[in-house]
Amino acid sequence: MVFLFNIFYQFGDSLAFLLLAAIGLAVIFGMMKIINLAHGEFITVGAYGTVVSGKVFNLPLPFAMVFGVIVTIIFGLILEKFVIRYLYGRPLDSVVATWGISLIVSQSFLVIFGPSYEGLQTPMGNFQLGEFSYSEYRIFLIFFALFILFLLYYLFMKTSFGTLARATIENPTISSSMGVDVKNVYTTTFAIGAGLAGLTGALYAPTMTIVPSIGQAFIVSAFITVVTAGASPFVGLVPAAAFLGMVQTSVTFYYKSTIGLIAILCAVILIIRYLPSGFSGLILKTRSK
Amino acid sequence: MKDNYKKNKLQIITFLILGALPLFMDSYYLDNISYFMCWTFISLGLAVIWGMGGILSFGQTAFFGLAGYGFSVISINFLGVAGVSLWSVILALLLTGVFGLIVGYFLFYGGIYDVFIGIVTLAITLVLETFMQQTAGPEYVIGTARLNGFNGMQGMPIIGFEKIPFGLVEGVTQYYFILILSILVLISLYRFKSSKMGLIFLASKEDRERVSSLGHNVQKIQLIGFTIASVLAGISGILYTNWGSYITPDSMGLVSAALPVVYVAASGKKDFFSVFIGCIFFVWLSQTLAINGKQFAIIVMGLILVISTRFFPDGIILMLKNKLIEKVKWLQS
Amino acid sequence: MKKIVIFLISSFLILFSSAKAADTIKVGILEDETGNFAIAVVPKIHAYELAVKEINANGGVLGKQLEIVRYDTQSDNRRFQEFAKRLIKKDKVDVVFGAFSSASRESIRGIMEKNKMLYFYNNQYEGGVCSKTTFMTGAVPEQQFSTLVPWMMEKYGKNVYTIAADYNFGQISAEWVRQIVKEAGGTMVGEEFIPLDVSQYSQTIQKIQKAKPDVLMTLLVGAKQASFYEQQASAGLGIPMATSINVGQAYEHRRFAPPALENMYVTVNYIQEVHEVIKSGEFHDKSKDYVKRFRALYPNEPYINMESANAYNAINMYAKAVEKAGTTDTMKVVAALESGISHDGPSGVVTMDPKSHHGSHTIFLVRVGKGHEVTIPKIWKDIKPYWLGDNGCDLANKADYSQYTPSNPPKN
Repeated sequence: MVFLFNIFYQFGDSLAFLLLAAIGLAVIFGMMKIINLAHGEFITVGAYGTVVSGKVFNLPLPFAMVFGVIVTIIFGLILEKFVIRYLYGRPLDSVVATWGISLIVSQSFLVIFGPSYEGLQTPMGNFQLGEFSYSEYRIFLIFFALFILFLLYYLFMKTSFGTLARATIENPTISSSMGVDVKNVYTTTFAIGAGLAGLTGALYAPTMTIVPSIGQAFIVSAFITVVTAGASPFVGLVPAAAFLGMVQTSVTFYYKSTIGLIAILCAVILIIRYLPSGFSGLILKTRSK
Repeated sequence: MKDNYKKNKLQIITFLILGALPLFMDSYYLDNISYFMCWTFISLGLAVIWGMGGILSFGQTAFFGLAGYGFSVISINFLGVAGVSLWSVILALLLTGVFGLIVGYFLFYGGIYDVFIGIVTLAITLVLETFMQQTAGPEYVIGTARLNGFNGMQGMPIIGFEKIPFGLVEGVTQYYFILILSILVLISLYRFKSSKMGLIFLASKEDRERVSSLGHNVQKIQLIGFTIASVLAGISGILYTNWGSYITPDSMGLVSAALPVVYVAASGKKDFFSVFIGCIFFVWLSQTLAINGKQFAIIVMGLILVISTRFFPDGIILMLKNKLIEKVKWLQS
Repeated sequence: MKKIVIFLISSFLILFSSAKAADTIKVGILEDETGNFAIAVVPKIHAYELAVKEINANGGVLGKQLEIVRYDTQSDNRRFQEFAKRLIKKDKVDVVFGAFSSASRESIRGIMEKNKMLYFYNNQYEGGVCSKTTFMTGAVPEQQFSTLVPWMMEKYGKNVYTIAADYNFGQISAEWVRQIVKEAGGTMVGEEFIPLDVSQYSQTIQKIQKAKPDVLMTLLVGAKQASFYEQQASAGLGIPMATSINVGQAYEHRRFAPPALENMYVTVNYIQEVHEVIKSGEFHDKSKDYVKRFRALYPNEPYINMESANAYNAINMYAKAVEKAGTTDTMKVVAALESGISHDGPSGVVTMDPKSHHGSHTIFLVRVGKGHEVTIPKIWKDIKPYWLGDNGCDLANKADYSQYTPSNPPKN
């Protein structure tokens, strides 16, 4: 029993991290096809928004997190208006522009807030089970990540807004000829993506060191999870994160973290090669049988 | 021949100026320009696969590092053997080319396209970096050469001829060697571009299926282009290792992988000469900003990138080059 | 034609002017003012400047003023290489101080040695550099671990678990810990090496709990790895931790919300709290004086860390050596440094060991409490950097330019 819970915790923790790292990018890269190398910086904005409002305005943590998300949405909207909207349909150019944005943002944070900012304490406590003790917050994160995914799945796959958004992004010409305000849809979707990345930063801020490069810790995991998820990100994200999490946890368990990292990268290479439409492709294919 | 001269007046003048610089500049500045020129080959390689073939690869730095390490390992193992520095360069480049062939085969014959190539090549680069970083221990040794992990490798010989007292040590010899090599590479690349294979490669960027249905072996040509790019990246890797007598896994990190992409895109990926000049310019710019701008250096670099994609999507340097040729009638053929 | 002539004449003038005898002593500094390492490095930069200012106010060295030529290396090895060459070739400095990470040091050490440029590395590191023209003023494993580990084992128990950054510094430090634990009759109940990019530690924490150690050695480097502390506290790990890296450099005890670092022990060669904790005596007075002078120049310095003391001592030792040698010629200054130069600095007397070119240190054992308050349970005076000298590195008599490790010692 203790052993099983232990496994669940380790695996779930890895799953939560991959999922939460990926959610913002799933919208912006998975759906909108913008290779957002500034994804890490969105997370940083969310993290700093949370921590600064918690420290400076003394907001209780949940409100500080909401503040962090709102700040990131505003940041995303500004970015969209001045830079991103010129990059739709030009995925490879978005690499350069977003890399430039990432440089500007991370360095600006360094200049404004200094190389380090005082952190927040992790909320909730811990409990003991057998010879192990667990952080309650991290268990909360596991369930919250799954909950967010469920919400997103519902939003983008079941609501009319979601269907509209997906259709417009897939074929903007036809959508606009049917009277859809394409610009609006793009902007809103991008803002959602930005807000989600900000949420990631807000959620993980109390567990990590607050430095301008905090977002960098998520970016590789985010990209590989979104790519493994495949063409329909909200269908494939959970299976992708589960698969990658399993690979990483088990390899790290038997060997060491470095090999775990290498294993997860190799897993992605193999998925791309042998399962080009990712896990969502696999699921949709099996479902249609 | 005269035709070539007419069409390439700007390029010829540029190289004449570059060739004359050692008359005015002292060794530090020459060395610095040699250093900037080291980076042009990896960028030109990317211009081949991305500019010509539309294939965005983050793997150039993997080949950069592989060649640098290959050169170091081979030459350290055979230190003292006649001509070691030279044939270890050749061996290292061969090794890099083979690796490029393998990766390219996996990509193109495995049906991996578009953005996925970027992800796979990035993953490969990161795997190499992650692995190399932890090779500090004594068990990570190839022959007599310890990989030394994160702290990097030293002690490789300078590229040169032992009997003849000129090596690529520093100063004028290194400068002219790299300059002449650049000219040769550029000429070869332009030849490639206008060759039948080059044209098919260019066409494959526009419409892969159509080109393939016309009977051309697109995958083979993409593989060739990719291998050329990998060897060019390898040249940069070896020249850099020689310049600083040092190579580390850092050169294969996320930032290092993105840099060639950034230089090439901002310069003008469709034109080799623009990429050559642009690469030198951007490396110089980022160094100058680091010296003078300190905190704001990186912000300025970022702004330049954003502005160039937003307003000059074909590349700032290419745009400037075209404007220059437009204005100065004499430069036109 | 005219333009060419002007060009040629001005180039000659420029070349000519740089050949003129210098009326200052140029001190080259290569440090990461920005980038990942900036937190721990900025106090070093300020310490160099403080030392230079004081020496200049006192008449300089050999009647000449010290002039700093500094570049921001941006925590990037390539910048280190670029600017090292610039300092040597263009600025023609007389000495170079700098580097934080071992990788950046190694990226320029070869360049320094090849150009016979005197080089001071002023940071703690994994030890083992035996180089004729290089001097190390930072603490090394035999100073930090041979004090810390036996003390921890005596106080808490003989079972030790190490988590370390998976690269040279972490691996070599872990090797040292292993050796010392064995010599003290203890048991290594586990070891885990973690790549620098990892920021999530749930699995690591579980592994530690399974092994039930008495002491946890945390040899973690960088901001990402430092996230371990918050995560272990929120998981309620509760095992006494010991390190050589944190607190003393990047003042995590000031930056992390308590009680992330509760019950952490660090061996440092200086921290700014020394005179706040030690209420009287030699160490109190010296630390207080140093901090006072430092803050007079930099009132907003967030933290005056141990590496700043090394940087400060280094400049002073260089100045003394140049006075003794009567010249800035590299090999003569090296000889002067090998004749036994000391400086009475922020943490007492630091002496340069002629055999290994490393500095001796006062080692303070620092304990971080529940509210992140600092106490100093023990002080060791004058711990010498004995390992290299004992193992065949004798730079005063035998030139060398290598780095050694416990598994690859100098061959006698």
